[in-house]
Amino acid sequence: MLLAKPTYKIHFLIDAPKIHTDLLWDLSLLFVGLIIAYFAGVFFFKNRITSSSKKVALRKKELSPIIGQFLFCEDDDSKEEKTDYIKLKIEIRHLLKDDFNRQVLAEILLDLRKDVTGDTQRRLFNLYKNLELHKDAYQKLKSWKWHVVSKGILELTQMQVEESYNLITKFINDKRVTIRKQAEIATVSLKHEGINFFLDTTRYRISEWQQLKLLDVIRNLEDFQPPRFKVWLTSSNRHVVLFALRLIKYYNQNDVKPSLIELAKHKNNKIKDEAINCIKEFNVSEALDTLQTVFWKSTPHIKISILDTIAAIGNEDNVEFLQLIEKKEANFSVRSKAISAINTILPESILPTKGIQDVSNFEIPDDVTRKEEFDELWPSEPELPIFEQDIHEENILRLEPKVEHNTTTDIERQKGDVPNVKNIEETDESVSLNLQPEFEIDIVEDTIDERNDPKIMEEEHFSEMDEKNKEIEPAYIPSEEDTDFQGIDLQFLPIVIDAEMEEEHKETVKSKKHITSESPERHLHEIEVIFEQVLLEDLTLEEEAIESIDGLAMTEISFLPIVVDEDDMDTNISEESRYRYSIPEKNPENKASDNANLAFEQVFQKEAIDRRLLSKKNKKAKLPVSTAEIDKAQVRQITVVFEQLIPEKDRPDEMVMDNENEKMGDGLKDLEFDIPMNKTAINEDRPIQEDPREQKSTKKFLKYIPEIELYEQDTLEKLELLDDIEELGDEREIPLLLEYLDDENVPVVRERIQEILKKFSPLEIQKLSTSGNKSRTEDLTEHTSVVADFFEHCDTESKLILLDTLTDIMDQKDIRFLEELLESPDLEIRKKAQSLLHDWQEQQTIEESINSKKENVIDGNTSSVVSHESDEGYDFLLDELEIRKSDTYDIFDIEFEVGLDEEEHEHEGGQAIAGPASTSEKALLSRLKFLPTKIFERLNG
Amino acid sequence: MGGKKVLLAEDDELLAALLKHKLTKGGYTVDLCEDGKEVKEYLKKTQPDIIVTDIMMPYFSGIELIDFIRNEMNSNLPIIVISSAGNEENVLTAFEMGANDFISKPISPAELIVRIERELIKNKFASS
Repeated sequence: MLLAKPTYKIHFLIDAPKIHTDLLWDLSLLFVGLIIAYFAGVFFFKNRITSSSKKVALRKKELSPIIGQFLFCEDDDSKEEKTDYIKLKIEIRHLLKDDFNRQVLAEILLDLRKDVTGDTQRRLFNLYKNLELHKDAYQKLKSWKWHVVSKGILELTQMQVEESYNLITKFINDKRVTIRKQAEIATVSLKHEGINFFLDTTRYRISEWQQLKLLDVIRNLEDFQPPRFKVWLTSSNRHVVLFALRLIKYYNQNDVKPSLIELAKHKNNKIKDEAINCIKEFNVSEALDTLQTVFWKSTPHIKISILDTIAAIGNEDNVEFLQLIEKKEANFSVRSKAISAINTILPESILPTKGIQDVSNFEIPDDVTRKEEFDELWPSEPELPIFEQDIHEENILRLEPKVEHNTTTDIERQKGDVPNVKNIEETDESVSLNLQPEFEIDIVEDTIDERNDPKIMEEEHFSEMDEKNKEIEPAYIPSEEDTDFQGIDLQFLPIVIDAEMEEEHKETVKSKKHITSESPERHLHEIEVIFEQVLLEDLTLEEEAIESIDGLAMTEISFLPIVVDEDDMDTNISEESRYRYSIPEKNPENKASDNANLAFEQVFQKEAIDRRLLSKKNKKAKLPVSTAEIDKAQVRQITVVFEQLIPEKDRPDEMVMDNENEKMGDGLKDLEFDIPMNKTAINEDRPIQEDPREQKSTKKFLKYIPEIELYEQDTLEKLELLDDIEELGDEREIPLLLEYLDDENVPVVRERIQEILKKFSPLEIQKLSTSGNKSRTEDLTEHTSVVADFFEHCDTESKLILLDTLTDIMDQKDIRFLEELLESPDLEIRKKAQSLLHDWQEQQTIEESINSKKENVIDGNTSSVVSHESDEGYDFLLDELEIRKSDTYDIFDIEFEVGLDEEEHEHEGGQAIAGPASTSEKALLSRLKFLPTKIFERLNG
Repeated sequence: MGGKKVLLAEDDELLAALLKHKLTKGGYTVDLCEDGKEVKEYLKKTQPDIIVTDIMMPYFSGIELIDFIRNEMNSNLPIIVISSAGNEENVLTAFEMGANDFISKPISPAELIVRIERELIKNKFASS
């Protein structure tokens, strides 16, 4: 060990404390070691992060095409695509067993969500749920780490997992801010009623930023119907109240006036301010008194808000209050706002006072041209000069008064209206020539007092303005003698205004005065409006045409439709009157009217309805809006031409018509129907008198009219259903149609079903349909077992359950599937399949024996059994008897010649290959035949 | 429009893969390029029927690419620009440079196909 000696002298309280050099070395080494460890750590972690991100990126690259394939898999994809899809599904299920892959897949979907929209985004959400990635997010919610929980909530929100709503709402009052905020947004975005729940339950502060985010979420919700936010104005959480106020303002829910007035008295400045803003926005004039009361105890910011609101919705009554504020308020900003508010209510009532020079002592230099001379030289008004600010007093112009009665207010007005005048100072004498003679000003020193009386100022201002204008008028209109200005540059001259225009200008000024001094609403009502009545020619013509109906022959107007408003139709017109009346109406009360038959025609086409015309008609109350309202007296004298003659039919015809009408509903209003005359009579409760002449004339036409077929209501419904099936269905409807065909007894319906079957099916199915054999059709349409698809993706337990289920529903198409299962590596499944096959075999044998007995009883020989309408038992029997079937091809017939070669070939493949129907049936039967032997062989190894 | 060749220039691999899959299903032949440089190299060798390009890409932005195609290659190939939402300035510049159409992210692949079809039809009429 080295001796540690102090290397410096001790100077108490002056020198540094003594430290051994060895210690210093040790410390240096320690720190160097720490630095190296630190950098090594940084390097290690950096590498780790980089490598993991590389790994993720690589995996993303691998998985992203799979996602694409999953997203865009359609039902109408080709077989290859579907096969690929199934393979991918199996692959992805394997991948999902690994947590890392699950994480990467979730990341991919979350990334893609930002880049895609519409249908693709919806598919993405579904895929996320189908892959059960949301369950990982649920797990994250259980974590104790706040950032993990927050990430889980975010994931569920972004992928729109509505099922997670109840889980997330628990975090609304979480004490951790980040989780709470995330939960708030999730609650609002996952369900439309989320905002209600959130405002009801939240106990914490809602920050301004959070409010904005929530509003943004609400705005972007599809089909969102905002609730009445006034409900939350009474909340004990003041942040909720504030947010509710903002939402009320945003959604313009202006039915909260009393609440707003109350909230204007709130002790919280933010709520008060927001309530005042709402008052201004919704123009709540009832709140003006409250605002004035509240004003004195408010902060400057609130005071400014109040003044702003008073300026917007206030009236002359509030001016006094504002003037009081102007005098008493210490705060400069508030005072300025008050003045501004006064000027908003009564424009120009307060004028600038600061920095205004006293111009009473100003003198016009002697060498300035006198007005008379000036008028001679410049008959019209020159352009106003723009004066500079810095001007010497010696050059100030003195303006001579032209009008004697000018007062101090006149000066104010001149200053106000023409701001340049207050600086009437000139540096150059020649410029003074450009001064307009009309703006001579009387200078009076004391102008301040009168400024405080706005009413006086206002009245004087406008009255004198009128007088001034009158005086100015002659100066604007130069005489003909004076208009000879050839060769003179007249650009400086003002625009000359016509006297009439001047009058209009005056009126405008007056109206402006009124509008600004009083509330705008009042003046809106006071505006005189001259209406010019315009009578449309077509309306007049229409009226004239109908009013002069007496003078017209019916033949001339029969073509005209009676136009009826749809709204009125329901109330004014009976159901029957919707149809076109082709048979004339007869009035038994008036015998004379027997010959006066009228052809009414109602047209309900929307295009034909002229509302304008109708309203005009209704106003006049002269024209009929329905046939019921038509004045019969006018009509009786008119000769009627029959448009179409239909004899009176029996009551059931009408019933059919009524039924049809009811079914057709509103959608068929546009159609026109011809109905018998007795229909109209029923409507009006009058007896019918047959006209023999009519009958005679119509008889010869009757043979051309087809007889109406009457159907039961039930039949009609069935026919309609069949129409729909024909229009919308395809060959998949065949089993259903066959069922109907079996059950149906009505010939028309049977014919219709057969027609549709012809359309949907090839010739074989048509044959089958006539025979009514259902089971064969099922065989035709389905060749694979119903459980085969599910079976691929199940575990052993599920497979056994599926096989159990199969016991009840098993038929021939499942046998093939069960045979395949005999080669399954799983012993349990093999056993189950064997037992099922055994059961099936037994059942078949029983059925066969029953069938054969039955057949023998009926025909007494086997030849009678060979027909196309036999069932499976028959086929098996043929097989047993080794009878070869006809060579005629029929897809429902099974080829009974079982070749050993074929059988062997199938066995070589290791598994049965699905082929055409006939092949599969053949293989099936052969398998069934040798099934017991096969089972026995297998059991013995 | 089956069999038409689409050049898709998009640096986001996930989106590119997704769009490629959708376009391929729509009957198009799709070639992917991840950056502007790759696009330039591609265009020297092959002539696509339409280009769909992202504005923000490494090496050369979509706008530079349009400039290259229009001014250096003197080509009238239809170009559809993919831009981020709210990137109005870039979209306007792209149109000034000669882009035919634009679609903003998030993209609806179905909409993109419709736009591609429309541009191809327009181009066909223009060339005939």
